[in-house]
Amino acid sequence: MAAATTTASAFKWPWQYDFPPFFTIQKSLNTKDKQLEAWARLVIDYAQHNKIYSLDIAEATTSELFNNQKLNRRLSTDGVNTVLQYLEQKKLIEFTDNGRTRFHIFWRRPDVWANMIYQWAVENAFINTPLTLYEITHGDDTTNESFHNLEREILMKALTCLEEQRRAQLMNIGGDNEGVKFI
Amino acid sequence: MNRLSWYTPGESTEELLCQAGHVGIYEGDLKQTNFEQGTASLTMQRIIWADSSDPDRRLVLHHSLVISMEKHHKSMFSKGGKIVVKLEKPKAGNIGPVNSSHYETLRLVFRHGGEDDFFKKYEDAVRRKTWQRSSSGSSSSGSRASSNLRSVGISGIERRLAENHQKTHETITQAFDDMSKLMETAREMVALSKSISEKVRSRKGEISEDETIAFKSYLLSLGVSDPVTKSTFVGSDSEYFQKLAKEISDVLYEHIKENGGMCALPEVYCRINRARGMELLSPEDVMNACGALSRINSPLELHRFPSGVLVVQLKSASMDSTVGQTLEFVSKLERASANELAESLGITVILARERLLAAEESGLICRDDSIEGLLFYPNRFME
Repeated sequence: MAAATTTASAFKWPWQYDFPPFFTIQKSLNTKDKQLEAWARLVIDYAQHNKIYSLDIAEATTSELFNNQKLNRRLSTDGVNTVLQYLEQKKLIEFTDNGRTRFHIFWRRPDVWANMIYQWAVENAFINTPLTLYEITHGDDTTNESFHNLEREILMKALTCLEEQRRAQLMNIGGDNEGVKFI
Repeated sequence: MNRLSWYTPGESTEELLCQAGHVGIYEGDLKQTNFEQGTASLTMQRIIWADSSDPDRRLVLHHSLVISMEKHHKSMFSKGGKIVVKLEKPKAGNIGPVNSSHYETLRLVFRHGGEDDFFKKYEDAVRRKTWQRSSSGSSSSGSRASSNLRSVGISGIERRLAENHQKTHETITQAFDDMSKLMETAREMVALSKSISEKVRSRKGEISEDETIAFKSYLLSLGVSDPVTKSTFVGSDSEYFQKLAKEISDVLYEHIKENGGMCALPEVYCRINRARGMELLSPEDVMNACGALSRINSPLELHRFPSGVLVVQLKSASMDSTVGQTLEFVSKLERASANELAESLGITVILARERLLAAEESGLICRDDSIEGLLFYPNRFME
């Protein structure tokens, strides 16, 4: 899990988090839809607040996200899987391995990250200037940007989007100095 | 000992009169014997002695050989109370443990008592001389001599099995005779209860209040006064089920009204049969009759919950009102379990659970399944 820039305690939990039935997957279909909607919103908001880009299922199941110690309630493993299936269906997460043990959380979709990065490149006159991937996510020029510390896999997805739109060209990927040139 | 013969399965009319354990058989005044301890069984024809250590080792002493007998109570020196039997010479061809003996008496020693009763019945059996009337004859008679071998091996086992089978058959036949007698009596009781109730109705003024109450309590304990039976409706099942439905409706309406408006089918089955007394209904008949409730304009109806649980409920208690009532209860407590609802409405936990599940299905309440058990809350997700 990526390091949180703000403390978890500052996160404002929704009312559902303090409602015991929230931690039991409901049987009635209409109720279940509303419940999963609320879970999806919570997972995305929590990930955004804590700048979490990817999660391990085992880690997630034991995290405070799915465990309310004050209520003495936790979402079961089956429940967590149900929520993740719903998020995957809504294209808000993507599993990174065949074993489905780890997933990316898209609190911003890759195309949104792509637009933000391209906007930054235009504003800072980096068009036609080769940049390393490290510079984009860890450089001094991006400390105030929301994509600072962005995980490599998500950055690659965003840059691939730009490449498909012919607004960027990836260079030396897999080599020592991986880079990109914005067009 | 030559008066004793090995056991062969019995005479056709043989029945057990008396039995005593820990009995030894001694010859004359001898102190030693090979037949120290066994069970002596007295029938109308003979005494059968079975060895305690080997029950298949059995001896027979026929009453036809008895000349006289006397009883001696237990003394300080004797091993127990005894019966001394003076015997005739055995018939030719008698096969027993000993071929010849110069003693004319046998001693039956009762180490654990019981000789008094045994002696009395033994004397009576010998006096009656039943063996002379027995068509099959005793095993000491000439006609039986050839077959009078000790029953051993497979044939012996087969013979014993056949005996047991016969005995079981007789017992069952007798049991069913008793049952039909009981049924007859029950019918008489029902007729009696009917006539009593009519008398109570017709002689309202002449019978005191206390007597009326007493009569009514007797009638109540008898259950339904005139139960509907299938035999009355030959070939007309639907009419039978409708009449039965009417009876169920009459018997259960008050109970259902006072207990949450519904009653599970197993309870309906128990209550109606409890009320009918002897004319019991099969579960299938009860179910068909409950299905016929809707056809007889009854205030009750058969309802099936989504889980498959069947209940008889008040028609007025529609699912909407039931579900509304359940939501009201859950909202009042903020959270509720099936046990709490059952206690509050006076219904079974199974029915309470079904009501909660129906309310959940309607989206009015939602579940919290945790180590505390299954609890239900008002459904805030839909707000």
